[in-house]
Amino acid sequence: MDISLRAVTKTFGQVVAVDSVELDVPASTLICFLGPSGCGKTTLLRLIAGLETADSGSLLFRGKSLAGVPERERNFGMVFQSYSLFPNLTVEENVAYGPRCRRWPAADIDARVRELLAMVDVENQRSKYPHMLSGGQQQRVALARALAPKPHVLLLDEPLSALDAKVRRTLRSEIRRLQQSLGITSIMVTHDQEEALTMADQIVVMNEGRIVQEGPPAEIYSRPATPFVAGFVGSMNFLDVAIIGENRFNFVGHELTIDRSGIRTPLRGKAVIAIRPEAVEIARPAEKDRRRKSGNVLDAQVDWIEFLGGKCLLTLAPLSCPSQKISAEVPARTVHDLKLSVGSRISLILPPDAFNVYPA
Amino acid sequence: MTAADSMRERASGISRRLLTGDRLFRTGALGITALVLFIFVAFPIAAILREGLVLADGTWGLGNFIDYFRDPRFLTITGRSLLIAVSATVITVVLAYGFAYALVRTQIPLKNLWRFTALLPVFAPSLVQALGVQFLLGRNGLVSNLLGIRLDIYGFWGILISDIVYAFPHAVLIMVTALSVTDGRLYEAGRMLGASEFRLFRTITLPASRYGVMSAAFVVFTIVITDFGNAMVIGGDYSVLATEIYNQVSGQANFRLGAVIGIILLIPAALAMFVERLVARRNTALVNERSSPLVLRKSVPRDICALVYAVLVCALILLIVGIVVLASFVKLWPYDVSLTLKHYVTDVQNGYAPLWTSLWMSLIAAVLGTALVVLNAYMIEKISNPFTRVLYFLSVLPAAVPGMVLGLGYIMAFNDPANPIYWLYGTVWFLALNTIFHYHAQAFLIATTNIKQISSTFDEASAMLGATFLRTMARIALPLLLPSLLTIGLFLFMRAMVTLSAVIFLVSPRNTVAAVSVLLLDDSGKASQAAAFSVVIMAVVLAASAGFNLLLGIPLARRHAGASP
Ligand SMILES: Nc1ncnc2c1ncn2[C@@H]1O[C@H](COP(=O)(O)OP(=O)(O)OP(=O)(O)O)[C@@H](O)[C@H]1O
Ligand SMILES: [Mg+2]
Repeated sequence: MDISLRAVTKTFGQVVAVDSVELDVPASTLICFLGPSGCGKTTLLRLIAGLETADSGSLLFRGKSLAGVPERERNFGMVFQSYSLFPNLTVEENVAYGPRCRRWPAADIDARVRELLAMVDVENQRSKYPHMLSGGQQQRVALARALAPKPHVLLLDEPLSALDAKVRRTLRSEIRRLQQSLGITSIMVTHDQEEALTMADQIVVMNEGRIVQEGPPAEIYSRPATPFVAGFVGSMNFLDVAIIGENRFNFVGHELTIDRSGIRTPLRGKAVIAIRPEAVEIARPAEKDRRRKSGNVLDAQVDWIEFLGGKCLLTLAPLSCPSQKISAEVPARTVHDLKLSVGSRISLILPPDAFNVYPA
Repeated sequence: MTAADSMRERASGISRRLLTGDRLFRTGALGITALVLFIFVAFPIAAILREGLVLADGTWGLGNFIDYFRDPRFLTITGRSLLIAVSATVITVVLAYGFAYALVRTQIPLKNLWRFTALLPVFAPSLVQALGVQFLLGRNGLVSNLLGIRLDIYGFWGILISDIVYAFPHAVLIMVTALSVTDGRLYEAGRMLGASEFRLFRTITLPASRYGVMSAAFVVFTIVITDFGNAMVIGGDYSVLATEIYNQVSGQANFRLGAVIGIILLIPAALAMFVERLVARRNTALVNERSSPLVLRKSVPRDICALVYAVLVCALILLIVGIVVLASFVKLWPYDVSLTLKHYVTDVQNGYAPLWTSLWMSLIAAVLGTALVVLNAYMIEKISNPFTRVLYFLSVLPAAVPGMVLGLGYIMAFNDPANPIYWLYGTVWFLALNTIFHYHAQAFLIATTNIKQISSTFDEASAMLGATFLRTMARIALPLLLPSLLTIGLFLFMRAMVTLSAVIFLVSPRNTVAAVSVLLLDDSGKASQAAAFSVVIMAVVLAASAGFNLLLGIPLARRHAGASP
């Protein structure tokens, strides 16, 4: 493990920004801290950087405590949200700053600067001042500057959030490629779930200073551990149900069955079941009877249609309980083929293997 | 080097020696900050408090103050000071509000000219205003001569008028800032709701600028109640607190009474500083990054009124400052107005030597002062602990200490052969140090504001890259602070050139400064020579400020010029 956190807690006055966090970051992986605003991601990253001191708990780097090691001696690279390039230094001087602090020989510094500027593709901007660069270029230089002194760990605090969508997407894959080719252990903070899902080896979802779930992106998406994670990563339908048997539920008068490995529910009581809009299927009336045997079919009325380009988001009201709306994301073709419009009656199918179940 | 240390060195690639050196630098620099603030701020103020609070029998108590207030003469003097300060404050704030409004919220032409004219009194020692009033309305003044009536300007009215002119630019500066900070969206919203321009003024402009008004009021009050030069020149027998200290100490060597009056003067000034800071803290969140600038509308009647007002005010200021310039060039003001340069041949003892002393002293104050102030501000801002909070308090404390009081404190603290820095006493360096700490608070706040504006993420970025404290300071902070260094240097230079109230106690026949010469000349009845000397001072200050502005333009231009370094 490159970095380990043991029961790390940090408070600011009354606010518990980071609450007894346990975390292990394996070498050469990219970990994303994901969570809503104010959940403590930045604070956790700054604790690892050494820019804040934990109230309690311990931080280990390759098994050795980081207690008492100030930020300048940790040799961790950091990329800030606002770039923070030194405005009085040129691009080249910015990148050379870390190696100069370490008194590298001039020739080595020169070679390193060249290498990095080539790596992040800003060689032709080398003698410009930061304010003469675009946001994307500035962030590339910031990345080069952080990597120049050969840091053990790379820390990124929302590195892409100040950029526009297109630049963000290209930089996303560039950072990921660079991280993998250098094999550098990296921790990135983001509140953009798409960013986390596309870039990370491991996602750490945080809420109110605590880690709620950690795991690879696919697992976080398909098996959210709590309703909070389910709602925060992607969108989700939550249905209030009564339990009527093993993996059998009553939802507004319909019986729903769940068939998913690893899920076991109690035999009675209430529960919340969750299903992603893209998992909800729409049935033609002809198919209805055939599918009805498998259960999990509800009659509903189309309440609203939102056109999203290739897809449509339907808001559906089950006939037996119109107030409990269900969203379904279906290909635009389906809407066209079924000639759906607001008020159309359809059947919606909730596939038994697409559910997650949470205690009510 | 321990095994753990060497492991760490290998890990970070930063040498131990460098880090140890850096820790020494930090400690040393903080030590210098603490030392100068304790010696040149805490010690003199403690000395004056001790002098005032220690009774004749050696015990501590308020006895000296009780005696003071039992004496009806001193009660009268205190009352006069308060009366003048309150009247001047009300009048100046109202006048300055209108002037600032004309500058910021109307579309009158030649705004820079009006602004410059209004600021003119800042370039002169605080007795030139009184000289001007004397030449205009005094016994041998223009008005008396032309109309053949004898105005009695010496006393309340003379001090009041001179102090208004003296304090006016300070109030204008504060109010211009207050009126500039606004959110255009509020006015758009108001107009959409159908509010008249007067209602907009009453409901948006006035409430938004009330903190500016309060802060200007306190600044003016302090300036006036502690002003010494004008009261000395035009007060006649009308003694006020500031002149009374001088008379007690210089005339009768009554240090104890001087200290008592000094402490009394400390109270309103300290109160003013306290409220001013409180107000400044409340005044921040008026605008945010989503605010839009105010777009001025065309309004001919408004602009005509504003222009007439601005021209009138500027004419009055020009009249008072200009008449001093004029009087310095004519044979016998106001009877024989043929031109002459004879008043420029000064027959005060030492001639123009004090001017050179002043220049030299001001240069020292500018260079040494900027270095000290920026060092203090940087150390106190970057190292935050209870000790640096004490140092912060000492840094801003001089704002609450009138010049007279500080000067008196310096005598009591340092005019003692047993004092380790007695060898400095009476030298130009001593005068410079006194001036630096007299204006330390203002310069310190400029520096602190600028240091705060440099995002702390630069520090963090630098530290993450392995930079030492010294390297961050030298390579990142100081280059970014360069423009404000020059501003602080200019501020200290200008103040040092015209300062009078603190140094008046500290000059010696060998080392005296320009403003004191003006006072001596006027005191010995050579008003025209006093005027000539003032003109020379103003010329030097104006030239220096023009030169500094040119200098200031260069680094800014270079940074924005382009890639070629
Ligand atoms: N220096 C500080 N002083 C006081 N409170 C702080 C400080 N820094 C953070 N906090 C508080 O700690 C909590 C966590 O803040 P943090 O900046 O870590 O959130 P975040 O997850 O990074 O949020 P965002 O996505 O908005 O950046 C917040 O409630 C915040 O107000
Ligand atoms: Mg954050």
